[in-house]
Amino acid sequence: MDIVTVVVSGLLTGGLYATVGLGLALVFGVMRLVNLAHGDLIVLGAYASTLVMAWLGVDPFLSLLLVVPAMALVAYPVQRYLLTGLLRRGLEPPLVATFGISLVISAAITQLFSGNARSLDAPYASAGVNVLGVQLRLIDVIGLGIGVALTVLTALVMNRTRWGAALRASAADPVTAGTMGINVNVVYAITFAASAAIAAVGGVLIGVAYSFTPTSGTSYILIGFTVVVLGGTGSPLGTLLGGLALGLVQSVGGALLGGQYRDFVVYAVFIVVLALKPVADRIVENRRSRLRQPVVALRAEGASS
Amino acid sequence: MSKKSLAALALAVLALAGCASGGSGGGSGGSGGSGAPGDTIKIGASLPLTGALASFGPILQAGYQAAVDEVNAAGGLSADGQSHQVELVVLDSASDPNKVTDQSRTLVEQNGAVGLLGSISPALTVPASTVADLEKVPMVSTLTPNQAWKAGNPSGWQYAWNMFFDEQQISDVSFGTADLAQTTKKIAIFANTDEDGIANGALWEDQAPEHGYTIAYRADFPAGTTDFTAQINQAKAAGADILFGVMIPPDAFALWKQMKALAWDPQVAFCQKCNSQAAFQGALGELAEGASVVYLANPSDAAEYAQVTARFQKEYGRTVDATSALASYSAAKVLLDAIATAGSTDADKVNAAIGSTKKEYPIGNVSFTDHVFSADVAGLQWQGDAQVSVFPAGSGGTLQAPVKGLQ
Repeated sequence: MDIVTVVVSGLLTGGLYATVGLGLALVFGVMRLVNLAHGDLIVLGAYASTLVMAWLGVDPFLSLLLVVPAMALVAYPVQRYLLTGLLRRGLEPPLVATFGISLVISAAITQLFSGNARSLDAPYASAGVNVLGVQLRLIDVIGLGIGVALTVLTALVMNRTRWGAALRASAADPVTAGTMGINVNVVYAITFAASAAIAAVGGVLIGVAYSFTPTSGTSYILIGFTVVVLGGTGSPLGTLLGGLALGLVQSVGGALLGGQYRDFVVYAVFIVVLALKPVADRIVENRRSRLRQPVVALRAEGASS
Repeated sequence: MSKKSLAALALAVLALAGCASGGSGGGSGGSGGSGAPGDTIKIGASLPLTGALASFGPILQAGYQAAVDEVNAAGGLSADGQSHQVELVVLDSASDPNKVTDQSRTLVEQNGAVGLLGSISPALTVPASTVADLEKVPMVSTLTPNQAWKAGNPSGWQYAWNMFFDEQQISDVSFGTADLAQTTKKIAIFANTDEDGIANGALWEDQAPEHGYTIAYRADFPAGTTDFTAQINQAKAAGADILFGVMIPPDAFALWKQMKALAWDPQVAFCQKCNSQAAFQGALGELAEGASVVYLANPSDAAEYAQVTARFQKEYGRTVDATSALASYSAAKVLLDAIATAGSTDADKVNAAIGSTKKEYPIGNVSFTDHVFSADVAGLQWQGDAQVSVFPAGSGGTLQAPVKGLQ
């Protein structure tokens, strides 16, 4: 087993996984919304691309110029006029609603396109590139590049723009954000639209690299959730690292234990991280508060003198 | 992340993991005869109209429906002293074996089906066969390798019958076709962990030495695998220049693209199940050129089937889809002819009539031994828009090696 190829391949696949998880992390991080339709949005993006490609005869990635805004335009009112209202009633109603949306999307795609597996045709879909003696798939390299670019773009928007500040405020405390003049409902809707747009990019990547059917979304949302848990919902960088970690674990696990254990490795890691994350978070928080204590003591001294 | 959020996330993932094996739900209506309830003889099938095996479902349905339409056009079936129109009721299993079980039971208990028709692959046909035996309703299936199907009930099926070819034939033709090319005699097996993957993989591995071949590498993986990078690189490193594969179509599309990208271009590449339908070339385009499959040989040229053969060959072209449609037509005809022979919809009489079948159908001269009929097979290869018969020698085409689409 060539360990270098296994590791590199895992990291490259992780770039795609990061794209899959980014939209989910965004929505979950801002709204605490578990979007069960996210996988189907990814698949919908792939099918939308097939339509644009057939209509205009363009490359799959060029089709995103139409598909991304279209997906965002469809997602905005869904969040604005359906899911936001349900969010006020707790976690369960929007969960059920997004599950319903998932079924509707899947059924609609099946009706329109049939159940046959498809893939997006492009010259780079089956092209290889040799990097330092390691033969790699060009689409995997592209996938990693797109994953990193989307992560950086999302991080810049969230941390360097007014809208990003509004988003972070809405995520931290929507009630207070609302009293400060932030239209939280619009922020939520734009976030959901952005998530759908990112899902569309993921869909085209998957369509070019692999294949898709109307029911493929389920497997990708499982990957998305695993990435979110591994990387956390707090930062896009965490999502990227989570995706890379998942790709690596999957690749190494499959190479060591055999392909039939590939999924087992992923879900085992998912469960272990779920179990240990609260403990890890507590340890980190304790360390932080111990570091703050000398500062607090100094301030108290200063005040008394 | 708060505990509540974490719990919701975990619950959602667990629910989805359960749904992941289910796929999308729903059924589709049947079609066929008319008449007041009680006047129509119903036969049912749970087919993969969606999901991973969706490319086979409509073909099976087309073949079954053609047989039903033919019988109805000729005045229906005579049973219990009356003439009855036949109705085919089809439910969409979404390629989910659990749904096949539920739906097969529904077809018998709620729709009143007096006979069942099978699905594709052991994963979907065995559950339906199990229901047929439990409900004591005759079932005829095809597009399911015989040995893997028989292994679904080691004590022997009672009401279920299968008409296809078996894994030994796949093995013989695979090695025979590989003999036609100049190779290193080193094979890489890529087999998924479904019943037919296990059965075929084991037979190839056992019989390679007697044919003068070595299994240089073997990859086993679950259905739904999309990343084959490690496996392809290991096959290359092992010096394999022959691929014997069994997997579902979506996995094969990913594998073929990755083989091309990672510059593994075998001399011969077989892909059972994945390449058993024209959608393989539809999805892969030029990449599919040169890919091979062991499949049913040319259909019977009996005059009574000339019309239906011409219809399917026009609809599906010179591909295995036409052969698959004729195979499913044959399965439905066997069931319907058995009902006519029995003169009754009584399950045991129909079952006995199926067992006594000795007649030519498009799939071949059908007679059952131990509930199976083994059809003739050939090695087929994509050459342009057609799947040309390249083995046995003299069957019409010449094997092209290496695999052009992967060059």
